[in-house]
Amino acid sequence: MVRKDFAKINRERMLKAIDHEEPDRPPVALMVNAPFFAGYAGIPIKEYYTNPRKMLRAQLIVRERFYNLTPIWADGGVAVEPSALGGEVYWDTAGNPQVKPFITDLEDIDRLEVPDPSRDGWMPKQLETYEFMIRNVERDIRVDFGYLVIGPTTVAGMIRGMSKFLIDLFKNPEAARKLLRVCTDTAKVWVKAQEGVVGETDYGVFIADDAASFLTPKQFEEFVSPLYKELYGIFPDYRRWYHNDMKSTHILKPLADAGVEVFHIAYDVDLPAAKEIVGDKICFVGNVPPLEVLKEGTLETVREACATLIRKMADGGGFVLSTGGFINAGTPAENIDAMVESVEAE
Amino acid sequence: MDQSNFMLENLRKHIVELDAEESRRAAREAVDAGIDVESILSKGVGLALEEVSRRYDRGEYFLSELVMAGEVVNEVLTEVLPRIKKGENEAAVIEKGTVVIGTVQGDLHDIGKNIVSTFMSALGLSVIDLGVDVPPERFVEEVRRSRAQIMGLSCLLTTTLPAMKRTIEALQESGLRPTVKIIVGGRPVTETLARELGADAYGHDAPDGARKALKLLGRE
Repeated sequence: MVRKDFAKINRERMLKAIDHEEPDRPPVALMVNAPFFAGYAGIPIKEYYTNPRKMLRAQLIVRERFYNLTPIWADGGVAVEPSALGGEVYWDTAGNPQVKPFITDLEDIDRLEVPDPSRDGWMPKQLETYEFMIRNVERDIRVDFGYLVIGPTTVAGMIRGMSKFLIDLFKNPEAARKLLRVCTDTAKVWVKAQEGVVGETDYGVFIADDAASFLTPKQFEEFVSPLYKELYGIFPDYRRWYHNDMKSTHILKPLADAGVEVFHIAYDVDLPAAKEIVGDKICFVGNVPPLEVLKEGTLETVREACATLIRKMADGGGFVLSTGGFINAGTPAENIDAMVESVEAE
Repeated sequence: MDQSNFMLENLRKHIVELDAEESRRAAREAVDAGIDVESILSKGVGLALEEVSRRYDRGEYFLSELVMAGEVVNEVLTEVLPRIKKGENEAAVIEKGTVVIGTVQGDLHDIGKNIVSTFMSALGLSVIDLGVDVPPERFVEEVRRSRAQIMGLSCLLTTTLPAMKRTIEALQESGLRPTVKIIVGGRPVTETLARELGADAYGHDAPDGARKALKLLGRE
């Protein structure tokens, strides 16, 4: 049974864990986005993305059911930054917004312009969604999931085509660098625009950049690391969050050097080994397998997976129990309950 | 070491070092020297990709390097195949089988699928790439049209695993399943899951997928 004031206590535990102090019990984070929100609330996912009222309703339903642990924010999937750079948004067969690659020639990179968040692509819609949410939530609820940006590597890969972008890193490194520059400048105006609407954030700057894992450690250090430092450097007093759903062991050290402080990490990364690599530089948020365990497992397998992670990771702080990746649509609520309750179990 | 072996070793070295320009030059020289296409593909390109694959398995190479290796091999094939097909060695071009490959419906990720396609081509398979977000009926239609022996399914998202299942079911319902082997791969796929889905083989990464495809055809 989860106590009434659990969210508040959990928040305090999380702050301690992020600072690598050991809280009385490990904190838990429910990482949820569009597919679960829309699915749980019974709203078609396209309507979730396009109707601020329905998005807020879905997020509030989930928040209320799951102990006020889930954030409220303008969830734009991966379409916001690429659309602002000129990409056309379309809907994939699962109902998520996508942008097709449109940088067919390297010369196209020179024609890219850093977007105006009040005008370009999905950015104005997202800002309006934030404003709508802020106007319509109760006073004690914060609209906040950090100043969230899709990282430069992922945006570059989306608008150029991932394979082409990775090949550019070898064959046309200067063009790749230019593209990453525009994507980073886009992220910079986007985090500032979010700050303008949301105000202060309890989370911090949150970079989501799965594609960074596709690079070699050397490429990451050379092409991407300085850009993360720039992005995080805009708000030096805020926490530096990071999400990457891919295997990232090979870039963990450079990620720590780039300033990553709190890492929502993939389910197939060996967390104790990751901790060995970065010591107390990074607090890991993860990494219960969201499909095999949380969605398809029994209560017993969920409890076992959580207990194992807590046993291996909780000592000394630097660990927040969560899923390694976002919670899948259709995940049984009682399995999520079991994960939350596991932090209180002996 | 005779001249042919020296030239093939040179080709291998440049491919493994991901040097596209030098690889093309080495391939051109091998063709000019009269080395047959099967040797260039198997002892040159094929062995080079095996080395790339080993380095990837050992954690010395990373995904971008696999993609680049695929690009280098594509350039080599572009250089070699037209020259040979026009020449007297045309009969030496051996196609070991046809694969219809794609990323399943709902999934837009193409890297793994692209790399495995290149590796399969380099190993002598004829690859029909249907792209990404491919509906089950499109796979079935192309397998029927091309009389492919193998259907390759890729995905990256856990949420698109059901689409992989639907595609395999669609092939079964079409009546084509007895004549077609199915190989699956992608981040959320495991050996166990592949069996549960009803696939014949599972590639744990792109090079492994290409090797398993050859194995399914009895052409290791």
